[in-house]
Amino acid sequence: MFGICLSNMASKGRNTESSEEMMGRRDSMPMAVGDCRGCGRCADNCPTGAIAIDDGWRVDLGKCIFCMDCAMVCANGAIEEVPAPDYALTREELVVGPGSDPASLERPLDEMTRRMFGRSIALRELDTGSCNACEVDLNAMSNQFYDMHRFGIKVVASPRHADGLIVTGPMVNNMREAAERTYEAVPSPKIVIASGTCAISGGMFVKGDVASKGISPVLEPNLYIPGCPPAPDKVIRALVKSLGLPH
Amino acid sequence: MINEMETEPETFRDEASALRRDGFRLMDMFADEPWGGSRTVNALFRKGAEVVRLWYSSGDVAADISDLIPSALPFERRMSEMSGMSFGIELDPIVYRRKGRGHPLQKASYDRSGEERIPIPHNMTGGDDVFEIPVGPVHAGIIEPGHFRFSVAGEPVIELNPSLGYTHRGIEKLMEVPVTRDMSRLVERISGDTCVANCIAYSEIMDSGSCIPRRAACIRTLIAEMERLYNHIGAVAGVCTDTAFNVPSAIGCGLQEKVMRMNAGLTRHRQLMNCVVPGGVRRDINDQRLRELDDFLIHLKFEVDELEGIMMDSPALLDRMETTGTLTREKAELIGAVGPIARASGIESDVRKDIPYERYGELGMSLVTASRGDVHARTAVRFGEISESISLVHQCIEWMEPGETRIPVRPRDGFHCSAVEAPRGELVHSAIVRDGHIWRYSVRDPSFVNWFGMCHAVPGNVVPDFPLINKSFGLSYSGNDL
Repeated sequence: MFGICLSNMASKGRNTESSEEMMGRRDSMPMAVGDCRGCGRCADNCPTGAIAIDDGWRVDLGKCIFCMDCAMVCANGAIEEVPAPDYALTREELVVGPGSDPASLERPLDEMTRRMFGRSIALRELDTGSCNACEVDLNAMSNQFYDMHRFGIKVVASPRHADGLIVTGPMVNNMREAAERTYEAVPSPKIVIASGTCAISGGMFVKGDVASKGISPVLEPNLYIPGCPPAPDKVIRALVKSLGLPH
Repeated sequence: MINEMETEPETFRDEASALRRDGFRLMDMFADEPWGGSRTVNALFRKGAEVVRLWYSSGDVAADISDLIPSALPFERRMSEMSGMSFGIELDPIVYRRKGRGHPLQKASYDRSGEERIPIPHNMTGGDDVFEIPVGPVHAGIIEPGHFRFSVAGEPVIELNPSLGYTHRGIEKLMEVPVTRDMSRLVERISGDTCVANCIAYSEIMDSGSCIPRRAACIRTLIAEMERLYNHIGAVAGVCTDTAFNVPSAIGCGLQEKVMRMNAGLTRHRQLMNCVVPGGVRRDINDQRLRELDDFLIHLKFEVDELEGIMMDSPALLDRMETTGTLTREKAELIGAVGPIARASGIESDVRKDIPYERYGELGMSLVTASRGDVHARTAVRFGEISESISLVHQCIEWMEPGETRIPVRPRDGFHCSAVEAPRGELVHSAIVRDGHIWRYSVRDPSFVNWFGMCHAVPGNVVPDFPLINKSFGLSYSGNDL
């Protein structure tokens, strides 16, 4: 074991990605860029109803699960993958159409929040009924590839030690009380991050009568990170860019 | 494949206990409502490749078999709160845990407003100097929500009462749609880290009666093993994390990340979602990727062996793992344990070998078992299965043949059932299709039965060993709660 540690220390080929590499990447999203005739087949086949065509082609990234079923059913091949924004500050901004610039959504949080949490942030993860895919990827944030601690991001054990909550899952009935009490336990000032499609809109589960339309009926998110689940580097990028964490 | 046995409420108990005497294990039990007010109770038993569906029509009161087959108790609890069945005995809630004017799976609509959460009773064990430690539902780590009550007398735990249901999303109800609707996107999200196994089980039901292309079956087998790989590597790394053994923990998490990146290369999703669909797979995997995967797995095998060496040669870690959280073979059989947990207690059961699905019948694999049933045995079984999975993926790549990857399918009316070996064990999906409509869809996640194994394994151990035992079982909350 010590041999492995020593050889790892000596080797240059470390697994950890440089922050430039991570910050420069972008996930993709579906977008009607080509010859869209407005037939509506993509909207009918979308499992979460994220696409609307009434008023020009629009996709709601808060509902999209990025399965790209829309691109597969499109008769004209008009839907392609384009770079997606890492986060948005309001729910409305997540509805995007052709020609929108992903970087324009990624505005920094207000100055007060950045002054408070812009050097480091301690978060408590709150699962309000997610399928565990979000947790798998949030756990991966601390592995040697992403190493979120170097950006000053920490996940702490108790809400009382936290600056805010990173919330996953569609806020099911059974978790409502626990979510409210966890939020109350976080000392003010605090921020709430809705991470993943379920937390933003309820995702696949909103058709039932057990899940809500995301966490917003109970908690008011300050930051929306779309994705099903959002990749670990996407969450890190969203936090670094919105809070101005050192990188 | 499925032997149908219709019986009467009076003879159900005798038939069930006869099956149990013959060595059959209860896989799943669920209630169905064919028309207003009438109920059928379905019990699925399996012994090797033989699956028996024992069913009868009843009113609201059904025959209780939990005194004959103890593993039936969780199913009866679920039927009583989800479908409103009564068994003549008092049953605690298990998943839904809310009390209202109706039951979530009943066909007649009812008003859900005013539903109240059933409180969890305090101090169920009682006794002088017995203290109760409540934990959860929001835990210290990045894990799913669930509530536990430890009753402790001094250091050792004398009883563990888990109360789950915090991630109940009503999936079984959401599955009741016309068969023409593709629900694979929802099925994948039953449990996000078991999405391939869940989706294969759903697709097997939808494919029934048609033969999917061989290339599609091969890709399904391949990604099912990739899913097992990252789950098992994550589970053994978790054992190191929870014993504060940081070097192998970091190595294990790194290996898991490498497998997940490989997954993203194969299917464009780190957890392999959006890939399996009824009738085949959605996207083909090109040969270049398969060659890369072949090379990657050769390196991975070396690195996993190195990790195994560090863990299994460390006296400090062995001291924590051995004789901790023992689940004896008798208790494992009593609760009907499945998967690596059952195999670590010496039960030779694996759906991949018993009822080969997809291409498993043509691939060579050996069953990894251990006998002691402690944390060490479960870790050793997982390491053995990692090697087996790597070998299975190599074989899949070798036997991959060109061809189609998707055909149109439509299931017939009637009862369908499929069993799949998920990373956590035997996963059972059953569907009753009436007039082209999924009338009742039942999912039995491996964790649903294995949670009771943990209740037997924890008592007698000290509280600080609980996280370790929990991680060695590696159970799912969302799959259990549905």
